[in-house]
Amino acid sequence: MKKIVTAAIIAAATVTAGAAFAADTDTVTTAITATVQNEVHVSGITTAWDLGTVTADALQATGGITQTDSNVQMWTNADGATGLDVQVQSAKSAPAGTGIDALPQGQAVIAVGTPDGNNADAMVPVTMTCTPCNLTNNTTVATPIQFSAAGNTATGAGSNANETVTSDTGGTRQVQIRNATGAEYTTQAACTTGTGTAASCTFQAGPTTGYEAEGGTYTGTLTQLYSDATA
Amino acid sequence: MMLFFCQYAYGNIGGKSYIVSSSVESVIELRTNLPTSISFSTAINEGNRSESETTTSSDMNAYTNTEGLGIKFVLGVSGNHADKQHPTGSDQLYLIHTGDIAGQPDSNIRVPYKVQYRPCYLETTTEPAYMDLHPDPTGTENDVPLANSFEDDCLPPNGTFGAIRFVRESMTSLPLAGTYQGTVNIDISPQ
Repeated sequence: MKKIVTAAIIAAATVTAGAAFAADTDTVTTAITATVQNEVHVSGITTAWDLGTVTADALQATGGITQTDSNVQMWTNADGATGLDVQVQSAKSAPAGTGIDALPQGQAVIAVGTPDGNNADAMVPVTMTCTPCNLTNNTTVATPIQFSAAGNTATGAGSNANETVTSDTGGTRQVQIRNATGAEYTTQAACTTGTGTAASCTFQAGPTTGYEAEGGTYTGTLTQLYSDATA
Repeated sequence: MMLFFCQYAYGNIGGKSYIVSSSVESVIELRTNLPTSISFSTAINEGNRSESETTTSSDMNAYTNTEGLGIKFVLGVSGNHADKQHPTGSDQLYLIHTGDIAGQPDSNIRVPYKVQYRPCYLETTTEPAYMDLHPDPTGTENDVPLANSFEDDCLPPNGTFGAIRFVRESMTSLPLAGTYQGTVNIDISPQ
């Protein structure tokens, strides 16, 4: 009788879990770089102001006629900048000899034709005053700075620690809005809605104190050049 | 043949089983084609600061072979600059200005970013969404689902590699001009 023997081979693969990890942790390291551009940013300022037909009395009234932009941003993000230099050039300015206190030499004006010292009645003083942005939680209140008035005794000039005036003649005026603490005024974080208080700018025509403007069409231009201040 | 002979010689009749066993270790692997350094290609300015930029996805093969035994893994991120205040804080990774930043407010010197991982998956299934990897996760935020963590899901041809990418996040204000840098570690470990 034959005996048949069968040899069965069963291969069992055992997976061990938990304690025996071939690699229980692993790490990848990556260095990341980004670049932020240098930018002087100005937005929200009126580029054309038409007063329409106004009366001489309205121009003569205290405060004259104004137009305000309430959501202005003006800032630089330049590393190391101390603020913004603002150079304002008026296309027309009061010449010498007007004999009118409201029209000192160098005062930015709108005028009928070319300003003439012998015809003050055809000139109306204009100013541009901006209140820089600042952080809402900053105790320092941004002080209005007048960009386009002649004389060092003009509003803000010489009395505002955040402003310097280097030129007031010939209709050119240069002021500086400083980064008082690095976290206010021209710093972008202070000027962005939601973080700080936006700047505002007011254009003003008049008052024609001491005289009455004559009839006619008055024109003029204020050009502002903003740049990084480094000192 | 000897086996037959011996068994027969000793009169050992009937079936005989031989058990051969081997063991396969559990493995958790993190293999990646991620470069050791990357740069966001778009220079940030006022025009695009409120937009985000996402890097191209890189292969990142993270898997375990212990499916069925309940072993899952978690991906961790740790940056050299991060706020770990989740959930009340920002739980935020950020790059930092490389210049002199003494006295500057955070918003002036930080560029926020985040790391995202899309788990690997079988090509017969739906591609999973990218998940944010938190530097300070709450609960299971950084856990990779078990269904997407087994090596069969991860390795071609049946599976599709995982992927990782970096997102430069939007900002409410433009930081100081300059270069921003940071380093992030991505690590894998069992839950």
